[in-house]
This record gives sequence, structure tokens and C-alpha cells, in this order.
Amino acid sequence: MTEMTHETHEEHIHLPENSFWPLVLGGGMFVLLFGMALRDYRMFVAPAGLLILGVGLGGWITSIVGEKVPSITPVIAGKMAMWVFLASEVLFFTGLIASFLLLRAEAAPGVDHALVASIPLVSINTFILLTSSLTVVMSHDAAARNLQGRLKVLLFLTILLGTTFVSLQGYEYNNLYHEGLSWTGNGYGTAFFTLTGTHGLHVIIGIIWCAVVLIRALQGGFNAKNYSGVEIFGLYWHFVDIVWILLFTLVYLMNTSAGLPVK
Amino acid sequence: MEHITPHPEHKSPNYILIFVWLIVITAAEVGVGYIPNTVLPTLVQYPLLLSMAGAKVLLVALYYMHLRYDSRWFLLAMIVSLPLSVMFILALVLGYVRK
Repeated sequence: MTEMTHETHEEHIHLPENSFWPLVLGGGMFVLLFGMALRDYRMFVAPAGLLILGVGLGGWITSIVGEKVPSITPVIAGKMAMWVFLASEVLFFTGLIASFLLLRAEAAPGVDHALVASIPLVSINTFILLTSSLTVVMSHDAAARNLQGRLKVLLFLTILLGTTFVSLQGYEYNNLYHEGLSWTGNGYGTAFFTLTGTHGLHVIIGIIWCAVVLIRALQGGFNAKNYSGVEIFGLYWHFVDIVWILLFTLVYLMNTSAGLPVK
Repeated sequence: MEHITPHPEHKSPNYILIFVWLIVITAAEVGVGYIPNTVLPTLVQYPLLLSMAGAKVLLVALYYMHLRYDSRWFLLAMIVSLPLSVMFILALVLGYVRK
């Protein structure tokens, strides 16, 4: 009898309702990137694109949070999809890291003292991100044990830690800018801010995602039998943590031209 | 084919202990990073730093992402991208060195 119920449950695949919000989000992304490529009207078009993107994202999240079903994706398919996505992210960050290492070797041979000065602050930020990985994995554990209160507190702490990380990164950027390292100064600056900024963007996306998971948790959307939403979010967050572990070593600690011959 | 269960038996390693290891390795990394090249040559320092970063990545992937306990199919999905990454970096570095 139990087996039959289990099978019936697995065969039922809930699909979300049709929505136009992804279209709005995609349109916003297009306007944002198009605006950034413009020479004269960049300051008007790009923020408009960002606004449309925000509205699209907000609308989509609101519609998903409003769903009254415990899970919108079959667990295995959702986890496998996340792993495949993370594999594509590995290649994406590989490209950015490789570009950074080569551009640093060309444009800024020797030790970058501005980055060396950043190491204490960035070490604190690394500690913060590692702590957030702990809160995420413990929230996963809390969901699996149906400890609802602990789940909510840990998700809230994750948002707090993620926000602190991004804020400190902004503070570091401000310091580096005053030290003369800018996005448009040379190839090295462009590669540095693109690499670390892309990671920061991933953290911001993770914070938004965590907020959605927290809202679903507040609505009682997770229990000991269904916590795939927490688990799949956790995979993403830990991956972002892994990327930072590598960036901390490659960008800040191995702070020379990485043994490459200087041209 | 290996059967994949939606939520394999939930196993909880000692997450706090793993976190402590992560912090200890990070502290050691920062310490090694500050050693001047006159004392510790780059040829030793960089592989050491990369090994410590690799150990941290393994700890997070195996225990926090549950790759140690979850289906091998998930591991496979991730592993296929790694040779491509290595080839990509090697090609760029070799191209730069030969330029």
C-alpha cells in the first residue's frame, strides 16, 4: 500500500502555470546589455533595462512563491539539472579566471600591492562566506529533520551573511578604486572587476534565491519528506562558495604573474 | 543502471568539524601567502596554496554538497566539465608562452 502511494506520488509531475514574467526578465536583460554597449545614452538605457529586469524577476518570484504546492520540480530532475548547470558554470568561470591570469601577466607584472593590502579584509569575507555555507548545509539538515524554526533562522542568517559579504566587497572595490585600480584603466583592472564582480553577482542572485526559499519556509513549504527546494538552493550556494575559495587563492594569495614569463 | 532515490537516506557528517577544518586551512593559506618569496620560493609556495585550496574545494563538494553520499550520476555530471576546463587553461597558457 505504501509502495503504491509512493509510485503515485512520483508519477505526478506538477508544472508551473504559464507565465509572461520570464519574457519580461529576458527583455530587461536585453535592454540592460544593449544599454551598456551604447556610447552616448548608456546612463539612461542601461538603468531602464535594470528596472525592467527587476520587475520581471520580482513578478516571477512572486508568482512562484504564491504556488500552493510543496515542490514545483521532481527532486531527481531538479538536482540533476542543477548539477548540469553547475558544470556549465565551471566552464564559465574557467574562462574568466584564465583571462584574468593572462591579463595580469601582461598588464601588471609583479606584485599588486593594492590587492595585498586587501588580503585582511578579503580573509574576513572568506570567513563570512564559509560560515554561510555552514548555515546553508545546516538549514538543509534542519529541513530533513523537520526542524522548522531552525530552518528559518539558518536561512535568515544566510541572507545576512551573504549581504555582509557583498557589502564588504563593495567597500573593497571603493578602496581599490582610490588606489588606482579601475574597471576601465587597463586589461588587468577589467579582468579583476569582471571576475570578482561576476562572482559577487552570483552571491546577490543567491541572496535573492535564499529569500524566496525563506518565504516558502515561512509558508510551511518544506518538511522531512520534501525539502528539495532547500537542497537545490544549497548546491548553488556551495558552488558559489567553492568559486570564492579558488578566487581567494588565485587572485589574492598568488599575487604575481603566476610564474608566467612577463612580456 | 544505478537507482537514484529522491532523497537518499539523509546522512549528516559533522558539519561543524568540517567548518573548523575549512577555517584552519584558510588561516594556514593566508600564512603561507604572506611568506616572502625570498624565504619560500614561488615554485613551492604556489603548489602549496593550490593544494590547500583544492582540499577546501573537496571538503565542500564531498560533505556540504553531499557528493560523497549522493548518486554518482551527479558526480559524473560535474566531472565531465573538468577535463574541458583544464584543456582550456592549458591551451591559453601555452598560447601565451609561445607568443
